[in-house]
Amino acid sequence: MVGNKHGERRLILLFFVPAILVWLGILIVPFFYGIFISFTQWDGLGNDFTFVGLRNYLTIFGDSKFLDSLLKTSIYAVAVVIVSNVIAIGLGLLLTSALKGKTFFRTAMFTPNIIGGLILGYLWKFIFNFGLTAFGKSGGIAWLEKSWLTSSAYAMVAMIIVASWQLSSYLMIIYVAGLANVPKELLEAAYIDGAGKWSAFKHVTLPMIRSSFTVCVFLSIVRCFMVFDVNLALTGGGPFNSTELIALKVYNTAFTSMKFGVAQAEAVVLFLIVTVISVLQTYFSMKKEVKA
Amino acid sequence: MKKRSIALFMAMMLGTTALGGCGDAGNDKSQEKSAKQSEASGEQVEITFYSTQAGVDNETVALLDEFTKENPDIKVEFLPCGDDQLQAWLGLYAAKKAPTVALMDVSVVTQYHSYFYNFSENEVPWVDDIVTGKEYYTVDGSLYAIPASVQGFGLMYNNRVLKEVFGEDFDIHSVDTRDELEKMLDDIDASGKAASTITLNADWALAAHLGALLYSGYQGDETAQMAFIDRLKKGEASLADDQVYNDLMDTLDILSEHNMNKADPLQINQEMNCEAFATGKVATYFQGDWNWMMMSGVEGRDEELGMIPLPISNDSEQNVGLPMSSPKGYCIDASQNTEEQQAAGLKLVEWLCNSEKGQDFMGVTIGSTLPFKDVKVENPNALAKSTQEYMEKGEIKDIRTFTVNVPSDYWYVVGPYFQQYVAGELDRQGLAKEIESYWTSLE
Repeated sequence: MVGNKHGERRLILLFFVPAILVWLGILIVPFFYGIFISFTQWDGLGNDFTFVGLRNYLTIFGDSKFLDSLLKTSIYAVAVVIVSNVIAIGLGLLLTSALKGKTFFRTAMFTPNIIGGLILGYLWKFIFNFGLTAFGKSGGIAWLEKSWLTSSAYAMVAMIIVASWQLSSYLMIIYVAGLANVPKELLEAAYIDGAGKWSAFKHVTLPMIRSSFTVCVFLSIVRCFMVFDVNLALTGGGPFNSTELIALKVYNTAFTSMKFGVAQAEAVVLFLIVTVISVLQTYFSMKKEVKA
Repeated sequence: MKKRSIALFMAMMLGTTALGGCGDAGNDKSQEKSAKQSEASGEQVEITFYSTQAGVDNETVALLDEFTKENPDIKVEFLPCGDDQLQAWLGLYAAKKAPTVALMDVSVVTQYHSYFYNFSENEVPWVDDIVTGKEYYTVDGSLYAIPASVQGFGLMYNNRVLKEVFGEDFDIHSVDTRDELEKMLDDIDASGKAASTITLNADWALAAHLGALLYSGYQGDETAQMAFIDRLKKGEASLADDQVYNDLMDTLDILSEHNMNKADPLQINQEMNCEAFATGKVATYFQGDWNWMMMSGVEGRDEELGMIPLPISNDSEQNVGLPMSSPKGYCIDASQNTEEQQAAGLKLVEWLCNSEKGQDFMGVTIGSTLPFKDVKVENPNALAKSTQEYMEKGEIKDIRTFTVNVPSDYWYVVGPYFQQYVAGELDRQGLAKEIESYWTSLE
């Protein structure tokens, strides 16, 4: 028995090895390498690193553009998390109700998530620049006659719409799974006790899908703070860098301004911010989850 | 036990194939550029070519095949750049797969010249046959890349449209002051035709082309241009009081006023502007001869297209000279490639510049002006013909000092401020202050 246990343990470890190697090579090694670069001045090409201590971090906290980008990303994240989760719950309720052709609708509604971020961005760029403006001009609708992407206020709204459209289709699947696990007897009992549909949803359904809610809010926060492809394709950070969200800012600091050490410091700060927010969100959400 | 073995095997396969997917997709063979590889006598020398000339991958592969046919002792692998040109190139260096020959932007050659082959030190003889453009790739007196082409920018004009408005005898070259430009655009607008367009949503074009004129020969000779930039860096220059700045902004105001897309100036992109200009929907377009690639295939394209210097000053003498530069050059990596590979790379660069097939690619397929003494091909680019004429006459507006000394993120920071100005969100004083802040913020 002892021999078997030892052999089993070794076998389990062996199964883990390939996955751990990949995880180390793709995630952990570059992560620590990046932290190292954030304390240096580097030309991005050779092996010549000049240690500069905390100078890169002091630079970014004195950079109003970085702080501005962080603020814009936070506003964007709050908006997208709320909108996408509300839409996703709505779609989830629809797909778990008595609806004919549920499987077809589930597939169709998941399609926005399958389209890659870059293609999505270009598609919606065409819609905002030419589709909606043509509609606005022919219908005499003043607020649609000019492209939303050429106005700093509306361009952010456009980003929020596109991101929510894509993200809600992904979150919908998680909510569908959560809603399917809500015991029907509880809802029936609530209706028998005189609860209306909204009351039953608020007091029975919502608490029962808290775990789905925790996961979905966590995923949407992370995805919002890390958004890059849609930002690049839809607005490119414009107009006038007004929609340059934090991941694009980091990219531009590295590959346009060629300040690799500073860019890496920005990336480390972004990582820390997202980690703190995600951990706090998950902690407080899980505390309130209903344990069956 | 058998099931466990199968499961373990599958787990290891999944893990290692995931690792394989992390490698360079364009370079499946795991080649190491070591001295041993090329020391094998009589074998083909294997080199790589990385090009930032986007959109012509198939043509480039065919071109390199031609080179290999003529030079069977050299095998060239093409490394396409994709959308992220600089990032991909840096990635190749990080992966110890630095391309032997690379067609790179001026700013990259200037920044990373210490990694490249020194043409001056190695006394490459055919370098003397380069007419212009070497000055862009010369650092501390040494040449680190060969200019692949020369490109000019200015006020492009559709002569068919101009003749319809002004008659057959109209000579665009008479428009040599800002007032003449304004009058011409007024008259075109009055005739019912669209007078001008400018790709305002391209912040790089606003800052690096229109904006380049601010630091150009309009400021004086090279010494005066450098002194102007130095004063800006020290915070000693006031753009609001600078004649060239005010001339430039007056001209931008005129172009914006007559912009066919005035209602939403940031909406229209470069491709649409090219189509409109090439088919005569608009009479003039401020940009450069590289737009030929987007215009040449347009259905119903007009033939009488040309380019003149944008006259920003009311002194016609000041407006003489078309701004032109060498945007990309061939550099040879000397940091990770062996001497044999560098020699093979040098042969490739010479062939690309001086052979008929090499010149056909850059001069005909791409449609760029070739900066060499012996040009064997006829360039179909109607706009580049103008560039060529001005180059041959020696009428070149000097923008070298700006191009070589400006940091790589100038367009990224300053371009949006120009856009805000055009959109009415920033006034002339505000724009001047923002440009000054950029220069003073440089370390």
